[in-house]
Amino acid sequence: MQSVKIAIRRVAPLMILDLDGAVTGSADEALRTAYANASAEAARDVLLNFGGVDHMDSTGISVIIALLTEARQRQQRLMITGLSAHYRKIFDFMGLAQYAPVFESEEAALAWITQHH
Amino acid sequence: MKGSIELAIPSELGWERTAMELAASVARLMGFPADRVDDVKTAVVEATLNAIEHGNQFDANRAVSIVITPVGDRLEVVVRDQSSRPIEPPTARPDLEDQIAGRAPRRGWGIFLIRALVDDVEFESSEGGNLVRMVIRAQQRTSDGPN
Repeated sequence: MQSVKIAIRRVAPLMILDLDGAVTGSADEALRTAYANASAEAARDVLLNFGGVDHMDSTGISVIIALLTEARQRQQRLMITGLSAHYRKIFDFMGLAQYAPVFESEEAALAWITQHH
Repeated sequence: MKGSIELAIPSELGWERTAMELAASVARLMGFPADRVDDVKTAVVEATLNAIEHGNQFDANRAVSIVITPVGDRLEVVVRDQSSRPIEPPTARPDLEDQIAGRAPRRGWGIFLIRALVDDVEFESSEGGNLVRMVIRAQQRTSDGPN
């Protein structure tokens, strides 16, 4: 079963993780490794871009929660963009947006960071 | 539409998406709007994952049965495992703050999502296994989300 593919890019001051494919429990190692690599760049703000995600389940969401734990320990901000309306609804149900701000676009996230630095 | 469709899958991760796609196909044929098809997909995938993991405990010799029945404007989906161990569904909402702080396991959202997305859900346990019966209407009766 195809899992997630992750590309990392820097758009200062952000580190962006572009997710593509399915975010399930099997994405755990790939996501944690990508997050650690992004963190190694000393970024304070990391943006998860779900624009290429076509499937996500609760086991994948538990991986996102694990990243929030790591972000808190590293005193980083984890932010989210690219969610479909369905997954945005689920993140709102769960209260995830209270811990990881959700933006309509990468540009909106960058603008928000500029205001909050 | 009349009749039911039954699918039996092995208790291995990945097969839950076959059940999900089948249920979504039926919902589309019934004329469900796209947002409700998405709700069907998540509810079915979560119920099937629970049956694979918590019910059958990944035992490939035990099947998970999914029965999909259109009834008027609603879709009934029954997911059944073959566990001899009754499973009590959690009633409390997971505490996200505790999970992020590492004070609680990060799992437990599947049942919460099912309750949030479907119109009716029942859980039953018997000697033959555990089952989840979900009813999803083409138009959700409330949009307030879970409490």
